[in-house]
Amino acid sequence: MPAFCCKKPEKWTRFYEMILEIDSQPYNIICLLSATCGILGNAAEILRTYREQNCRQSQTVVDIWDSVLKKSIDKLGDEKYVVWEQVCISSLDCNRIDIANECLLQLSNKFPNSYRVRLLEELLLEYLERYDEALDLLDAMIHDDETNASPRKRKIAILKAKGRNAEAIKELNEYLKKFMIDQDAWNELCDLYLNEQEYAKAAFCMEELILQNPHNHLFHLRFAEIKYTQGGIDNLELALAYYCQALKLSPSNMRALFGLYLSAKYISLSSKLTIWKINEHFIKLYHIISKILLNRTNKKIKFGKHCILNKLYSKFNSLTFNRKIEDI
Amino acid sequence: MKEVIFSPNAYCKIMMHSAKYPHCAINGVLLATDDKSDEKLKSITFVDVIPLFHICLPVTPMAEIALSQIELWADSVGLIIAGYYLANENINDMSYEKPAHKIADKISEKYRSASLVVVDNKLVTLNHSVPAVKILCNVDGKWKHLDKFKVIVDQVTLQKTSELLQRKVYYSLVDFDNHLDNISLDWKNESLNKQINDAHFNEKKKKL
Repeated sequence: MPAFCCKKPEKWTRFYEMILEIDSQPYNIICLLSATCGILGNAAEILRTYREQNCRQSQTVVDIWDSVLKKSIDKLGDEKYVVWEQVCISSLDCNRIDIANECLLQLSNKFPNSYRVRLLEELLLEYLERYDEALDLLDAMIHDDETNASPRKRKIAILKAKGRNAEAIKELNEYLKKFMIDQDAWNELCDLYLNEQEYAKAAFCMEELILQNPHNHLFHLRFAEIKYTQGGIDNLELALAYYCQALKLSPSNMRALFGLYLSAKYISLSSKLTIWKINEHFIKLYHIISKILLNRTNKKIKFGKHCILNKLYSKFNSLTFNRKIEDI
Repeated sequence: MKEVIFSPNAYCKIMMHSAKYPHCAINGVLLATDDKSDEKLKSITFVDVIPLFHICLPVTPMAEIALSQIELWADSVGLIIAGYYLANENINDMSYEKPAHKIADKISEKYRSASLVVVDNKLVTLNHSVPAVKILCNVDGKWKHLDKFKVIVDQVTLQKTSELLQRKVYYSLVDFDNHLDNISLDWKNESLNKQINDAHFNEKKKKL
């Protein structure tokens, strides 16, 4: 089975002669089998990547299950158990209770007394919005094993699903006193605080994450954004510092570059800066950054220079120019 | 109060943005033609939308950059930022008082008859029969609900939206967050606009 389209070429070359020689039934069957294995391998690889990076791509997972994995799950060996778990959770996200039940049945047959399987049963109850039964199951699981973090987090998730954010924040704080290293929990607490406009507390959560993971540019970036949102010259200076750090850790980070530009601009416009020389430095800084931004965008955008950004920077830069004249 | 009309582009892109990130809160701005005598007109037509963010809405720096760029571009093509749309993370949540949505107040300072569009998550399905949005209008600094009979979305638009959602065209939508991750992606979604317009035009042709 040649891996090219079936249309006969205009020029008959030796290459096509060779392909026709090997175009025999056994060779075609081997090609088909290896292609299937290849697709299966690819599918397993995609799911593995989603598990490692904790991505929430539920529709893609369900599509892969329907098209490839459903019939050939046994070929994955021991990996099939984690795949079943992953597909079960994704199918609940996508309202595919048929797949969820199928996966749950297989897992409960193989692991009859497992906590992980009980957690999946609890997720099913949450999906059906039978929250009281789910909470009973979770309380039983916590009673049986105090060190298991997952049931406690599901209780907080139920509070969030019911829209009771204040209680969810309180419970999450209690949870984090016991399980301080849980980065996902700190992230979630930060998001909850941001929705309640408690920027200082959200910034504290990000500081915890930076302490645990100082090389992750995303945590520095998020902290800088929170400080910028809080406003005020002190917070802007902190934001500037953290944007610089994020950029140092990840030079291609456009958000850090934009953030650095904005913080430098607003600091330079601040009336607190009376010393002329420092003001001048900030002005130079954001002129340089605007040039870098334009360069980066022009390189990536194929057609024409980025005229919107050009206009934007000339508008922002003209504001400072007018202020300079006023100061004199 | 005015009637609010959604063009196919506007309605489809709002639904596609919600469908692309079903587990996130999302927001975006609505654009209308810059007609100086708009105040006296009985209806407002949203011509296009620019999907903004799905990651961490309450923080402001990227919103400032986005809105400045959109304002400049809209000026150059004769459009004005006339509204703001949002969809909440929780399926039953139709609130609009979260800190992220102060953008709507800012928009209404510049354009008096700004609208706030809240996506009704329960009605976003693969078969749209009614518009899945609730609209609020700015009256004396407060947001007041608009009667659902004053929200006009063409039946053809609803049908085409359902089709595009079933075909999973929403994966090609680019919001401002996607643009910041990869600056070569176009936040104006020109190719997607063309696709929606063509689909809409073919459907109308069939009916005639």
